[in-house]
Amino acid sequence: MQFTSLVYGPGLPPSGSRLAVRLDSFHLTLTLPDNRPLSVPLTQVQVAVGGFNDTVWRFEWSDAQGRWAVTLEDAATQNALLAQPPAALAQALSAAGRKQSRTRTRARLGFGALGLWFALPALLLIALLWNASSITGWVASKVPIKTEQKLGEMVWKAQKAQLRLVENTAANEAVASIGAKLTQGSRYSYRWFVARDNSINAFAMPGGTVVVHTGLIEAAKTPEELAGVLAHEVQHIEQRHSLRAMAQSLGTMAALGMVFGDVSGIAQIAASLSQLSYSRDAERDADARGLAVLKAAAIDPQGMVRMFETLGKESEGLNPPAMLSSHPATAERIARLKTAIAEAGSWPVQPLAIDWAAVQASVR
Amino acid sequence: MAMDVIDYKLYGEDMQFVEIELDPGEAAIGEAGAMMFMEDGIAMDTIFGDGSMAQKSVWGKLLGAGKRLVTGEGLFTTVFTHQGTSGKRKVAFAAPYPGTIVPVNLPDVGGTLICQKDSFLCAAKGVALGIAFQRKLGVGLFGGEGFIMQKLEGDGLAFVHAGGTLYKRDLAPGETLRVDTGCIVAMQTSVSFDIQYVGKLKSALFSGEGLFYAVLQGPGTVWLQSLPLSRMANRIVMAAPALGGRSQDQGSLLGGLATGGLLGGMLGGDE
Repeated sequence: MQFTSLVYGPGLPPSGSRLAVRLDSFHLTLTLPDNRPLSVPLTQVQVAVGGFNDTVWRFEWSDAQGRWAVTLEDAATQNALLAQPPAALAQALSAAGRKQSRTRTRARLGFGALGLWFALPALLLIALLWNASSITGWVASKVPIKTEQKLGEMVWKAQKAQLRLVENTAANEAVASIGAKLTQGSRYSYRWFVARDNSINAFAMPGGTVVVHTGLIEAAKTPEELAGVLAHEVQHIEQRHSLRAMAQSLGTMAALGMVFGDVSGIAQIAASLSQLSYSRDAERDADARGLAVLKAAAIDPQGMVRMFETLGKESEGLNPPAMLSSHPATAERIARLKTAIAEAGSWPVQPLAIDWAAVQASVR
Repeated sequence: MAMDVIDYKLYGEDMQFVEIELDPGEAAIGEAGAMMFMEDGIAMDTIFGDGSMAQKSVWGKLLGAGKRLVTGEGLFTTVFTHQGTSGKRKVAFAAPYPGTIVPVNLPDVGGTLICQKDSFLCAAKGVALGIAFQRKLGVGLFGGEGFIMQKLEGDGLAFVHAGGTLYKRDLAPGETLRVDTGCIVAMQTSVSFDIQYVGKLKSALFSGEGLFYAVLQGPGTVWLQSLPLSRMANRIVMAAPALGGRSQDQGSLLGGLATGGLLGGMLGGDE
């Protein structure tokens, strides 16, 4: 086999000289710059791997004048030599090949590990967001109910001042009696309030406080419609959605902080989008579970559907795009609800024995 | 790939510039911003990539430019061509900070030179600038040169520049040299570049040499710099009161701590 390569040795330039090299079964022969051949038996030649990134094979030997080195960098020639090595060098060459592939493997492993190390926070973030619901559920389950009630009390105190509460009316009674049906056997002790406000709304606070706006009572045509909304709100409390939202928000902030260094700009936007998405999931969850509670209490689920329809008409044209909204689109909720009702099949229904006209009159 | 043979002259001792003499039709490429002056008859053109292969596809050019960006060079190179028909014309390139310019005739080193990134100054047109990616993790992390080095290929003259005094050292086959990390400027591909732990915890902590040496093993030629720019910059910042520095030269760890505080301010006051 013949090739040209940089040769270093006594009498040659210190930066090497490109010479023709011939390898036969027994000898390595160089053609020196003055055309003189230099031949050395392969038994005296050692093979080493070196050079930048271990890409170079060195054939080295010593003679009376000093040490010689033939450096072979060309990968194609190296492979050709590996395929048909001179017998005397077979072992040394295959060892050199092994050393090179070891270097390559090590580089791959090392850079893989390095890449993984840098990608780790991002992977963690993805895993966290993927399992957000079960993780936050677990975190929320670790919070004792007492703590939750204290938290709810704080929120309630702050809210109370801004609400115009209506007390001792037929509406209060109606809300409390329907609520009691929906919360049988609950671990929370519920408090029911009616606030004077024309918007069609009701909301729940952690620990078991539910506030219904008078606008909702006026818009509802039957007590079943009110029951549908209450069933939904009660599930926010039962499923501890606000605690889970807090866990989710803190968790995402921490994870985003880890990945992006500080929580600002894009990270902030990502965090709020993820919170809104969580909030939409929580609404869907409350819808589905609310329906189940209606079934358990033998209340007509059509009331819930009709209430959503009324709500949809009221807010027509005011809805933000789905991604930026805290609630799913009303049409979507109604469709889901109808499917769920169809799946559950019909159940025996007991009409709620409430004089609805009197209730509505009491808050007018 | 036809190389242009160029004549040159170096001026200055520690803050050098190189003056290149071009025959009609010859060209030199320079690192963007390195040009100092040029004579009549020399036209400057900015090209995308390094101009080593004029017929490269757009994609190839983009890739080349990307590589240049990684090695700390500009996206563009400037080409200086002698467009006259007779006589020699001169163009000069100046080093960007105190140091030494070293001319390397690439055929003399086997056609390829691996050098510290950002050290390229100028070359004959036709020299290709590429990346030599350090595949040894330890060397990349602790060798002082990082993972990305520059690869100059071709058969023309190239000029590299680094801080302080540049020292060319020829290593015989098997000869090793332990070098402070960060001091390696350039080497032939036949030279093995590795790292070695300094050996003793005490030395690692207090010798001031860091945890590792760079180890170079021959055969081949290496170029070393006596004063890496980062080291000089560090000293300048440490000595600049406007930047919060106040360093007595050759300070020990304790001295550094003490001079940082109020006590040090009183003891070491030199104002």
